[in-house]
Amino acid sequence: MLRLLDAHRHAIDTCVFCPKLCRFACPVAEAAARETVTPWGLMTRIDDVHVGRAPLDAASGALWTHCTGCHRCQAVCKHDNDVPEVLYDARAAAAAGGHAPEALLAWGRSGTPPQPAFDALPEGGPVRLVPGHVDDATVQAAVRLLDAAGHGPLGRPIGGAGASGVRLLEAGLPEAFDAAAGRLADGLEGARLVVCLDPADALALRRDLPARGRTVGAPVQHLTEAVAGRLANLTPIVEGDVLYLDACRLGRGLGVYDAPRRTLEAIVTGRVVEAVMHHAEGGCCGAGAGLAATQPALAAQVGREAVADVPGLPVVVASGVCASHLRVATAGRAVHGWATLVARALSAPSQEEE
Amino acid sequence: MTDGWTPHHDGAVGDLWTAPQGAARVEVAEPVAVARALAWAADRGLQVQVVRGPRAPTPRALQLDVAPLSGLVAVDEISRVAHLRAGTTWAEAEALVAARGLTLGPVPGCVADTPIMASFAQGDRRRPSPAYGHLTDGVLALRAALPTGVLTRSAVAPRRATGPDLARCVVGAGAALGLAVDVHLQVWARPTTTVVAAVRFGGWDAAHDGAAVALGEGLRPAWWCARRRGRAVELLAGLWGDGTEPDAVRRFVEVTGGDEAPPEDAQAWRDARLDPAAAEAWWPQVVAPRGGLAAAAKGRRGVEAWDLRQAGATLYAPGAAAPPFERDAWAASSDRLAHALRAEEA
Amino acid sequence: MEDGTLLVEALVARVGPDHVRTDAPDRDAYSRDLWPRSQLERLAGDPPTRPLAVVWPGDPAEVAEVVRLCAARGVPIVPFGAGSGVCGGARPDRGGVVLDVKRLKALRRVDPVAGEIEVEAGMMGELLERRLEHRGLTLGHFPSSIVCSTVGGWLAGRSAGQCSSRYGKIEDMVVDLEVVTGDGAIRRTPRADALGPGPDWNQLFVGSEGTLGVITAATLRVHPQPAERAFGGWLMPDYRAGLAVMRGAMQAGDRPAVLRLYDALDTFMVGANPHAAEGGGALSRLKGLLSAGHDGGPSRLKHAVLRAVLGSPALTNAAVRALPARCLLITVCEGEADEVAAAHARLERLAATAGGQPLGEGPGRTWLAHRHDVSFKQSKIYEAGCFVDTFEVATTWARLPALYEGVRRAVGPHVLVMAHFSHAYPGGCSIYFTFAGTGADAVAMRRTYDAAWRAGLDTAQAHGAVIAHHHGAGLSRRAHMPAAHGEARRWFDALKATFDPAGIFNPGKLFAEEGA
Repeated sequence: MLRLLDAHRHAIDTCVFCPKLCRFACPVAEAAARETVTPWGLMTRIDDVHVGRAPLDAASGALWTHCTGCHRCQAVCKHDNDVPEVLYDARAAAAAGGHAPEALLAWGRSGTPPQPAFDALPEGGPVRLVPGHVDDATVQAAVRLLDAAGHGPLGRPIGGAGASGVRLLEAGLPEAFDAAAGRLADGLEGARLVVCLDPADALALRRDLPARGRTVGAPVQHLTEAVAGRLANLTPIVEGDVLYLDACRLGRGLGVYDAPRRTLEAIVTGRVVEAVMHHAEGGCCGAGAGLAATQPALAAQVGREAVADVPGLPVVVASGVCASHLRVATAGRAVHGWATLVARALSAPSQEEE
Repeated sequence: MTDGWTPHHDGAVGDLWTAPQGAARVEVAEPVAVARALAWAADRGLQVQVVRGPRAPTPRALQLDVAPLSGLVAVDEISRVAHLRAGTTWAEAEALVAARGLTLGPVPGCVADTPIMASFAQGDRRRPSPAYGHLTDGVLALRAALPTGVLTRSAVAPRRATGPDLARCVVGAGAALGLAVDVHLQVWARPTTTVVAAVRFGGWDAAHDGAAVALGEGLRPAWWCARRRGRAVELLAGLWGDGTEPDAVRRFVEVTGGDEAPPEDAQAWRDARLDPAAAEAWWPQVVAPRGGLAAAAKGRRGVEAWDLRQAGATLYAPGAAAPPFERDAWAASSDRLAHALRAEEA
Repeated sequence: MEDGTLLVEALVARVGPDHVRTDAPDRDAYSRDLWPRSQLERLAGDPPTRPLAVVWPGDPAEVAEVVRLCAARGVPIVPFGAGSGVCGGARPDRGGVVLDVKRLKALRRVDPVAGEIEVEAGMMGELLERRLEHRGLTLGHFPSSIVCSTVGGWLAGRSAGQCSSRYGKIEDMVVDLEVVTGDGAIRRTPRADALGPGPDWNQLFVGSEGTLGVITAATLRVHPQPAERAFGGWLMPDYRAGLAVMRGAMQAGDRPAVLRLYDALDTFMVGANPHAAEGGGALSRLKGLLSAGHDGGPSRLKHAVLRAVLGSPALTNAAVRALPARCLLITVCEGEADEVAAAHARLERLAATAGGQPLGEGPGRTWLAHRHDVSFKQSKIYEAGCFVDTFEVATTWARLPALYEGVRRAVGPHVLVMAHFSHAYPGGCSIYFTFAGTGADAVAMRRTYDAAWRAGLDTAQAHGAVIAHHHGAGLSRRAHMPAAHGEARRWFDALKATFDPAGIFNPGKLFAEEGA
């Protein structure tokens, strides 16, 4: 499986010989305070293993869990190196050699949480929902929002798959991802629009699946895109300011920055405040690419640091996965998922428990 | 020599005078003579005093008469760097560079007769000039004599990154770690215009704010200070220029935001207080951080002046509380350092 | 090794198991900094000296505990920021413990009224500057390593930023330091504006490169974000004319934030000389190979061409002489409007007098927008089987041309060399040389690399220059340090005896150890 890395030789070289010019951008390295887990450090280890200078062993496998796939390093890299992509192939090599941490593999294979609201949707239909690994409250909110935006009636992918399987890819199980994503793609055939609640799924369907030779016929959007400009009668429900944190796969991945902010501005009485670094340079919650499963304390530290520079304000993030992780990481700080917050602001009478 | 001095000769240090109670005196004309004298004093456990001309004996101290170690070695007129021997007084040094159309900046009366070597040994802070810095700033090279009897050397450059700035060992440390024997100092074109601005404020806070704004706007007086005028506070500033700054006084008044006051007696007033006799009152070595400036100044009698160089603003005020740093611990470190220097030699 | 095991156990007991690491990846990653020679050694297959352990204390008290534990056993400590140093200063050549300070990264205090901040040593530079910017402030310190270096590293190595002519070097910004010394004490130096009896300890710890203690925090001067900027760009008839402009501005008492003069080759490489022939030649090929932007990846042909160009330094340097002598001068003035206008107007007058051809705001704005991009070229050069490095020296204005010419002549037989002049002061300026070369293999490259360095530093010292302006000494300049300091070395030895009696702090750095 080390052959997978052959394709990345240029990226590896330009990283290894680079004077760590993305050093400040890596949220994991910053939280860990550890050069070994900087993009430079990770790629150097990959290089050492690739050329036989270091063994492919459990230590390497464990080291390569230190990434959230946030792509903040790529955002500042003039070589446009995709370190997570190389890392996922290194993880695949580790997994094939039996050196991947069990926690990472288990995370990759983890199913979606109980989602009665998703299960209640009919299969098929023109607009299909891919909820991903979000909780049921987020699914309920999304259903309301999509309905209010005129996208109803919603349906499930045929076959009922609720996620793209991108976690398998990120955990170093690419063949399993191909199978899972392929099943989902099959289940989306005939759709007019596919709406994902987890930006990671939207990114996988829009970028990773085509890169691996498969496409989804219908446009794939994240929820924030699907409802942008289509929600009338939003009522301000948040007093004061909020801090908006760009979810990495929504912002840097899909390029969606303004739509969720504009919607948010309509439901707060104050301002939508930016973090010290935001948009393409925005911080990371720490949950991605299995870090929260393999290094929970470090992942929590990444999350705390993402919002630490603007203390006090409630945090809003347009990813249910990020929101759940940040709630735990920042214990005590108000963290809102964008979907549930905006759904509460729909002026139509709510039937759900607030 | 009079006053109890007896001529003497010592193989290690040459001709000198001695007096009862371990007093000694030597004239030094060359850097190496300073090094020899320091080693001689250190071997005997004597204090070292830097003097110019005859003085009465001081028990347990070697008086180092540096008058012969005076003069301008060279001036690099392109780089505007003066190479001065460290026995030169500041007034002499200024006269020497003035003859070349250059200046060290304002030389307060209180330091005029101080040898450069002594100012460095004391870590002299008696010229807090926004434009020119302290007298001991602007060093491009400093050669020192060590109490181990040797001389250091240093490349001449505005800044360096070759380890600690080791020459700082002789700035402010008395003679314990050595003495400067010659220095390369930054000099400047002599100003073609010198005017004094006087600006009146309702109180210390307003004067302080006005001065801070002036710094923020990039104004750099050659000197400035403040004085009480009844209930008001007057900010005085010496504005030196090359003639390209028309209306310097008007601009200073506008920027600081106070009322222009008649400056007639300002220069004379300042000069009087820069007299050596008034030095203690004028330049007390007590410092308060900028945030405490107004508080420290309020209710005090006498004269206060402040140094608002670049971003750091500092008040020189009689009686202001000393900031809480470990004076004792660092003094002990100085002693250990001096001991270590000698131990290395042994 | 038993003592090492006991030490590691003691460290774990004090700072926790998550903050002491002895596994291979960490020991490898901390076996070097960004000294290019380490990269050549790695390519040559030389095994690095790895530390016994890497430890991450969480506060100054833990730093002190680590120091006490190591001092008691005589185990070396190498203080480590982000490892961006380019002189080998953070290389654990004597093994021991690498003490990474990056968990100490709090911005403890921001006082806009006093114009001060107190910040811990492990704060990354870029993150600090962004946080200050968020508050309307700036430290004004913009080294090209700002994205990968820490406050502690800046202080340890006497770092300079690209705006040093306005804001000073890092040593000019220091108000006081918190330092853990060899006795395990956490000490606060006297404020630079309130010195007691004794030397200015700040200036003795700044630049000590981890040899006297561990800097854990510092109070630094900060400034309001500039209200205005004025950009200037001129094509000067030659570099001497450019230096005259820089000197004139600084000696008039102005403080432009940026004064940056590229020599003829550097001017050609940045593409600012419309008079330079673009048609063919080794230099044009070199420029094309190193041009910024995503170029579709490497190719064997490109690499071979680059190696051929850099493999004939004498010829390539001779080609430089055929270039027009014109040099690009970039200036940026910043601050309040009146000061900016006055300083920029003076630069315009000086440049006109010196025969400068005005290029407008473009070059300055382009430089500001892309000022870190050049560093990305480094890896392309190494990827092609070549090397690149830089060294910076400084002297007075009068000696600058001879120094520049002398160093170019001395290193020219070994490597392709170009330079820019930046970090200007009233009395002088630094020269930042960039050199690139190659060899048949990594061992040959290292030989050429060493020869170039030796020739450069020998020549700098022969011209009376300082051998480092802001990169520090570390290992790369160690052989030249005795000549640089002469008997002043005794002060350093005394400082070591005073603050590091066990001799554990970064042994062998700055100066070689006795008997080494």
